Amino acid sequence: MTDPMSTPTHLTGAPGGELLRVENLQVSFGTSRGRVHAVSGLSFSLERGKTIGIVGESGSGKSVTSKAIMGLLPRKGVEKSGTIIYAGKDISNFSGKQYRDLWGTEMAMVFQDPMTSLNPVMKIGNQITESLRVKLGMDKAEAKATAIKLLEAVRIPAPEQRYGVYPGKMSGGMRQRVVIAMALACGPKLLFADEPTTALDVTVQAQILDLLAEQQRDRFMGMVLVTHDLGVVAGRADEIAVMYAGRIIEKAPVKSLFANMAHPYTEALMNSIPKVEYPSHTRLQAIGGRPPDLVSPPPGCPFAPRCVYRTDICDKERPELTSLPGHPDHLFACHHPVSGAPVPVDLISGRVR
Amino acid sequence: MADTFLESEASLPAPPIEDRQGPKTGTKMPITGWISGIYLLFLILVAVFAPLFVASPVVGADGFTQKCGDGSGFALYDPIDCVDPGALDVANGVEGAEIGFDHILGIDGSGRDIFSGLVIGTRTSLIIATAAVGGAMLIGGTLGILAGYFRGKVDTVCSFIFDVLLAFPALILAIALVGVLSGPDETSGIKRIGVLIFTIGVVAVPLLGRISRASTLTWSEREFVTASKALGAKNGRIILRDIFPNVLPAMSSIAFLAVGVVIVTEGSLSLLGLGVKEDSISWGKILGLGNDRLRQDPTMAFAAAIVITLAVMSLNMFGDALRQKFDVRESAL
Repeated sequence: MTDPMSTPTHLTGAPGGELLRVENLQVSFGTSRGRVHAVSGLSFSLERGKTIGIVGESGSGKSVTSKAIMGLLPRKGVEKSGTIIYAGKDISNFSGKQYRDLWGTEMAMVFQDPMTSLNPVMKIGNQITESLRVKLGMDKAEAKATAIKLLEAVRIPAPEQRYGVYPGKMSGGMRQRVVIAMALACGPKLLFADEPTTALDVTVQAQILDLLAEQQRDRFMGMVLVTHDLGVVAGRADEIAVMYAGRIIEKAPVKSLFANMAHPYTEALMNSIPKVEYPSHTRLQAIGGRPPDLVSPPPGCPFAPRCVYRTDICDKERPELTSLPGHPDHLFACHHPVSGAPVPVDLISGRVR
Repeated sequence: MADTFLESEASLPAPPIEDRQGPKTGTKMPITGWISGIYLLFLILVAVFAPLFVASPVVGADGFTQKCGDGSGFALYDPIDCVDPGALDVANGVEGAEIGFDHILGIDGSGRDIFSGLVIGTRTSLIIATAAVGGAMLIGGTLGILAGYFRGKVDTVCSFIFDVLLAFPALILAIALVGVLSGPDETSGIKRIGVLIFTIGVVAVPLLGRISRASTLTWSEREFVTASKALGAKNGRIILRDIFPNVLPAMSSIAFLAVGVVIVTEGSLSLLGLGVKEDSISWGKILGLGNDRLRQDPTMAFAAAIVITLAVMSLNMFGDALRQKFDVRESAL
């Protein structure tokens, strides 16, 4: 299968250089009902200092994608194929041991739920210093000083005192800051943020996202920001990939995506975000139906059963990713692209105007 | 907006941070926990120090009669060697007999002081119970954590071991093991204590193993384990730092319960004549001896039973209280 996205033209000669390239990634899980094709034929690339947002609803394979690249999927019952190139090295067939050298120092992950991603019986300071001491060989005092600096960097007030506190004493937002500090500890070049704000209060979400973006800029990391919320990535990613049923169905630089939205699913996602000017008690526009069963994905377009523009060809033939006329780096997979009326999105706040 | 908010937060005086002792628990130690804990501490003190205050028998001038203590008031007498023939005669209705020394709870069939036996026996009973449970915790806990963490083949093997051990009724297994391990050489009392520790330990392994396996299964699903892994931690480190401290509370509360069960098991084995030998004394031993003469003198069996019951009850209560106290809730806020 030749994928038009395997040679990303817009990335050549970029300042950071290519950090990560994923080609035709396939992940399937063995279950009692048959193989679930969680990710099929996914390709993208990311350069250092840039952020790609992966957007999709539950079960679209977005978390599996980041775990597969990180090598964090269980080995049993999981089939993974395709090419993952990290900093010029093919890591797709790395063993757990080889991956361990990458984890922490090269790539790290911020997890979804700060309530469960910290060890409840370990002081947060120790949780941060552990990897510093093991991975970077720091001595106790040095590690502690670094950990306090990290806590300061993620804007935790009174870091010296917080250093000796157990996670149970902290709020969700504070814990997520600690989780971010842990992920940043060994200076990774690639950061995965797997729905980093889903478990948090709306008021805290923006702070955490800004913090992530700030650290990504300061440390010149590549970041993969996985979320189900288009608004979250709008102002904070350089490029957005919309996933549906294990495939990328639209991928474009942020501005182009919101200006020339081509896929009906992206449009439907956009429409399902409530807008400020709606009168109160307006019914939310949900996308009807359910995502397809990934044990036996439909032969045609996976979104066809829920799509308002569906025709016969949609059921028979799966559309390949093609670029939008005039926008070579705006890719979409649809037989009947929507007109792409510009969506007025405030790129700073991520809110639909 | 967010930035200004953050800055204002950062410039605020640091909030008081009160905890330095332990994870947030939210619950206080219940009163039953205090009472049972104090009682257990008392038992431990008795086990450690009581044997130091024992009056050993002194052979009289004629070389036959022996005397224990100074014969006045309350004292602890050697529960094996101190025989009071006078008291035995009184019990048997011999005319003109006089008791040699005071017996709070009376004497057993050989004229030995029961109260002293119960006090001195605390040490043996507690040694057997804690050593057996400690060993079982070490072996069962290790197997359980490995099974729960690695799953797959390791789990199959460990769970098979637990299942085989559980398939035998505990007492039958214990009787068989004591019988086989004691062998024909029926002399050493210390060896029998070792055999009892091993036997009861083996019986308790699956209990602790299953608990730690189940607990490990849930804890290793937590994201912080994946997070540790994603930071490059090896399995050994994850088990020691992330799994073990979280599994420990569940394990130790079961261990306290198990100590109680083991004390009872030791009693049951004594009833069957498979407890400690003639040259040692334990609660179970007194229970066993008392059972033989329940008709003549029920005090002995009941006194031992009450001592055992109190100990088991406080062990249960204390285990429960500990679990409540250290039941770390991740979202304590």
